[in-house]
Amino acid sequence: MEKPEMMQENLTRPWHERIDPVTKLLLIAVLTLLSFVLTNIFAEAALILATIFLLLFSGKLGSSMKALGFCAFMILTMLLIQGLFYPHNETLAFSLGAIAFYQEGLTYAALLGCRIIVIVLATNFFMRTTTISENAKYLENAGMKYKTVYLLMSVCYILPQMMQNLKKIQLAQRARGIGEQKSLIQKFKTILPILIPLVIKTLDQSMSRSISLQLRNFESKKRTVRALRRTYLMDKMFHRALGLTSIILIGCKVWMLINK
Amino acid sequence: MDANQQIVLDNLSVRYRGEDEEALKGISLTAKTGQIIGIIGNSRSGKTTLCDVLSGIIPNIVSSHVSGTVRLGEFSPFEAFDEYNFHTGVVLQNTAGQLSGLSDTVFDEIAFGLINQGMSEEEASKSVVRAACQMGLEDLLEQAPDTLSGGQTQRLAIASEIAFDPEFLIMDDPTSQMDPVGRKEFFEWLAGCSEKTIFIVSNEVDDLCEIADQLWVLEKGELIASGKPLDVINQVAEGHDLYLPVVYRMAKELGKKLPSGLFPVKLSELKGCFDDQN
Repeated sequence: MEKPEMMQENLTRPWHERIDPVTKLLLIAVLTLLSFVLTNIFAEAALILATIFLLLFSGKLGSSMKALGFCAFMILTMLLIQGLFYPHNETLAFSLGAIAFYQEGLTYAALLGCRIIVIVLATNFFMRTTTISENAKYLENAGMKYKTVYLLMSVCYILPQMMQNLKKIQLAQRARGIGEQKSLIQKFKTILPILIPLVIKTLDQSMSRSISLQLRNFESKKRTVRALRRTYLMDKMFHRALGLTSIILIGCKVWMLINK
Repeated sequence: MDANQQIVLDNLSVRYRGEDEEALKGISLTAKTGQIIGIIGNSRSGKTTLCDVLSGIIPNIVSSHVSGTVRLGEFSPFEAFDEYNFHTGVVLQNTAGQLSGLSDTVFDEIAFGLINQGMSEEEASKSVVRAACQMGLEDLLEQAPDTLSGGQTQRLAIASEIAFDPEFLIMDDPTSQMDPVGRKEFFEWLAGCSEKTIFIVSNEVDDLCEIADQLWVLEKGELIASGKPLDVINQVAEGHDLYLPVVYRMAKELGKKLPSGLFPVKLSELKGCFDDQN
């Protein structure tokens, strides 16, 4: 039975905060699987539109655009490589001088690009609408081992952490006289040489954190499972529905692979 | 002295894997528990390594070649590390890396260790508030840890450790990013800590001389002096390239000695010299 003040608090929270973290994780799984099951570019575009609406209605679209910018370079590279060298290239799409781009390769790369966008946007919806401790608390309450929870959260938040480190290194570069990079190529040129220090710095932070966690009895069997302060909207029903959808989609994909 | 009230380091040597030279070389000493022990020395003198051994990081988490004995009261980091860990609080040199990364607020971060130890949420809540008040963080409890300044992060790391009231507190340069007021408050708090055994590595030699019961001086991995700050500073003042406290240097400049013939290292001792003269 919900306490009246808890009910009041639940009613005042925005809709995306009334959906539990597991439902959001399952939603990422469903959207990702769906993007792999669909093979039509227009259907993929509709899926992107759906994830955009999800972010739009939760008021997180603006902040998610940065993440899209991060993968734009990768998608452009895919279009370039597949457009030129895809093994099933037959139909000429367009040519730039002596360089010919083919329709099959471009379509294939666009399909892969759409899948990346769907995954990035769906993950962003999860990350931007829940807090780390809320996720951890919920998953632990759902019966997941705290070590597994921590691992899952670390994976989800490693990219934002790397982005933070990247910003710090870039700031230090600017302080040493390297001008602001405006074009994508300029940005890429400055990021390339700092990739190794960036990875090393992130690994070093992970090492310190690992030492600290062990000192702070992270793996203690005595750990108290913290009570959830919030209740969520139809969480059990969503879990069942999305779980079932995921299984069906996996079945579809396997069926498609067998009948290929 | 009861063996359970003693700190014993017996012929402690540490060599990191892949290194030829030892980071700590045959350190031996005994001291009483319940004291504030300041550890000083220049860069690469072995201060952090000693902290890592005292906290059990070496050899339990970071593998190294270790020989000798370490015992804090009835506990040893080389035996039953989990049990030892429950009695020690550790503030690492890199305090930002010490944060759990799973907390949205300062409150959650301080509570992290308590919850891991199996404390109930109500009890943990009280301990968090108490620790936060001691470190001047009571107004920041709802703030995100990654928005804190360097000094505030150091205070948060200390609060996270003192929250579970450890018997032994080991701190590696905990004030390096604090502002002068924060540092002064910290050392005042430290001076008021009784019954706890506190090991503190710091470059604030002036402050350490004021509050520490003992000073251990390291040089190139060797212990060159240990004892009361007055004796230690007077002992290492000549022949060693160490930063000496302002009070000591002033007294030497003015030729003010204590009746024992030593130069004072505390402000109160220096005042005493002037009072005796008048």
